[in-house]
Amino acid sequence: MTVGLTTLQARPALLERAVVALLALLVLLLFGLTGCGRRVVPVAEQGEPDAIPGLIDVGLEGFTAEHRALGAGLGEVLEDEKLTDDPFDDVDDPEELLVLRVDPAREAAILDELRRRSDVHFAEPVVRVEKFWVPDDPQFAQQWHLKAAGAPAAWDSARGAGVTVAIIDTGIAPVDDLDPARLLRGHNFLTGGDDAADDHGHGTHVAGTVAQTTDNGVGVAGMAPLARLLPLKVLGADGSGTSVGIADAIRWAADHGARVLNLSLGGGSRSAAMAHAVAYARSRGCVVVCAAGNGGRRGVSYPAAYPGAIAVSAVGPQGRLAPYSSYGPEVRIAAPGGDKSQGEEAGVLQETIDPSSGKGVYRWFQGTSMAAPHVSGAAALLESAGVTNPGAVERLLIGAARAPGAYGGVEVAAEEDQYGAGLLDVNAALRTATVWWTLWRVALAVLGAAIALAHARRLGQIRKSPAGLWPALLVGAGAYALLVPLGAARFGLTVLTLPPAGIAQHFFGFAGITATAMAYLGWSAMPPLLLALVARTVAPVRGIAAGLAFGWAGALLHAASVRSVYLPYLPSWLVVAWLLAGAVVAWWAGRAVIVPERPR
Amino acid sequence: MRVRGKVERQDLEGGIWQLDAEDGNRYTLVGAVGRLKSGARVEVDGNVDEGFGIAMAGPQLRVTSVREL
Repeated sequence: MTVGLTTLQARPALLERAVVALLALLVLLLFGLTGCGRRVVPVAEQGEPDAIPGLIDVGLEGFTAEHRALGAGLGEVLEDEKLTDDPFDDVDDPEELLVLRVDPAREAAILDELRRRSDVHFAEPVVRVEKFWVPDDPQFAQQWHLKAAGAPAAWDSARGAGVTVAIIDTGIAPVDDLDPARLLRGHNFLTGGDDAADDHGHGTHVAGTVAQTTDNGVGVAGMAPLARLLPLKVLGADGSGTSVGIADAIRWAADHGARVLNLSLGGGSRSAAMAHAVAYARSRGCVVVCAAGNGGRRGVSYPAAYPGAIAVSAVGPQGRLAPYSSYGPEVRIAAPGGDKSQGEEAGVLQETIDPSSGKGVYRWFQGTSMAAPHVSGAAALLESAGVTNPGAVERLLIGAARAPGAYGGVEVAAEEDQYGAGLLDVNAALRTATVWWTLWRVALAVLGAAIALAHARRLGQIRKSPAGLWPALLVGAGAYALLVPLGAARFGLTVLTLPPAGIAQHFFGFAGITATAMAYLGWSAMPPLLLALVARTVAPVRGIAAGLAFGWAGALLHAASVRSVYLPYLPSWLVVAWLLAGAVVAWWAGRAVIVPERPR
Repeated sequence: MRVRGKVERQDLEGGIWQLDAEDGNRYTLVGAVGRLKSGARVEVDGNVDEGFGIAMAGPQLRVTSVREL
């Protein structure tokens, strides 16, 4: 043993503290890198400049009290910054920068007026600069609704790979801009066969919003570009169907591997069969998303109004309730459904078929049916990032929802009945699941390890933590997920969003006995426990085994606390108990393995 | 039942037919709607059904026949 190590061994507590501090610093650093996804800046640097209506910034010469008064006269002063030094300019010319919120209708006139003043260096609209992957679909630029919902930024973290979304509708036509490999064989509940082709156009449009083939140089994009579509035809060529057929389709979808069910349909009459079917699908771990209805008044249609369904109201491009959208206390969230009273292009653009010719066409539709699939696509993105419990998906979407009106940059006062929790923002929801949840997993794992090490030291069992413990802990807790928002999905690496405990479930899916066994095994203490047993006899890997066990314990404890995991056959509260038990056993395994075997 | 009223093409969900009926209701027309002219006055034979579909905008009238007045 080297002299250096001996010196360090003499001060174990100090070393421990240094390692923990270093890890904390690393985590903060990674978080800093990932946190800079979206920001508002006054000049276009790169990406697509996108003016925010009603927000302007003004550079004024010198510092005077009049500047603020000038700004207050024109609108609301949001920022007032005094710049003394320009690093690119030798001349020291103090400048005051104001960011103002003005009446969007008068914005152009106000900018003109400001530019004519001699003390104004510049006056320009504030643009939103988004730095993320932009797909090459030629008409993607017209899909304001995908951008409003936060999809482009989210595509760096997740793309819905491996998640099946059932489209319970008029069927799906195999149009050019739908990848046939992701269009599954479904079922026709009107004729009984497996031909669920669309003879209306509605279902194909809805399916496009969920998972239109994206970045293929053709047409348009969809919310979850790699999700699979399961067409279930319950509505005829006239767009109507029966409660029995719809209820059957909901159960069929839940039994055939669908994780998200999109129901862009509804009616005014209650149906016990449909209510039970929704509850059944939810208990089987499915997210059930339903259109709130197009009545244009209070009164959410069924099945949206049933417990277990996520009822979605529709908003236009500014994020204000569309005039046709129904609303009521059952509405959970609002999403873009289009508002064609503002023009054709204020609708939702996807590929569908012209029912008279059967040929593919790109059309702008409006309706709460168009809003629901934005939420279904968002749910598919979260599912592909390892959030498998439908309640957790719903809580994430609701927790990340934006204020009504926020799509247009100007928030509006609104009743909760109209927008539920607010406007869909899938990127924010996904960031919670990738960045924040990872930080919590790591924090819980570090806490558990610190307690175990302190305890062992107090008993005199060890003097320092075994080698490899802290790196293994980071792996066990899935700290690498902090790298995901940097663009893991671009390389098909969304599996990195998951701690090792969740990887088996990710790969084996949800259907069948093997999948079930693997899901339970992954989300238990079994893997670190086995490794710990081996490490008791193979001393050099003791640290690694202990670190993985503490990381595992952190991941299980966190999954229990946010109830993010769905395990087949167990009710939600028993899943929590399972995870907590696993966390305790994993921690105990880590605690046991840090102590070297006594020579006999 | 038989109702009279004005049919209108609504730009909702890709396009639906609605009937502003003389009985004061606004029905969504499904079934044998055939070719209609938006704004025409019509007489419709059909039944109000439980009404599940894409329209989600009030009661649904399943049309058996429709006649322009």
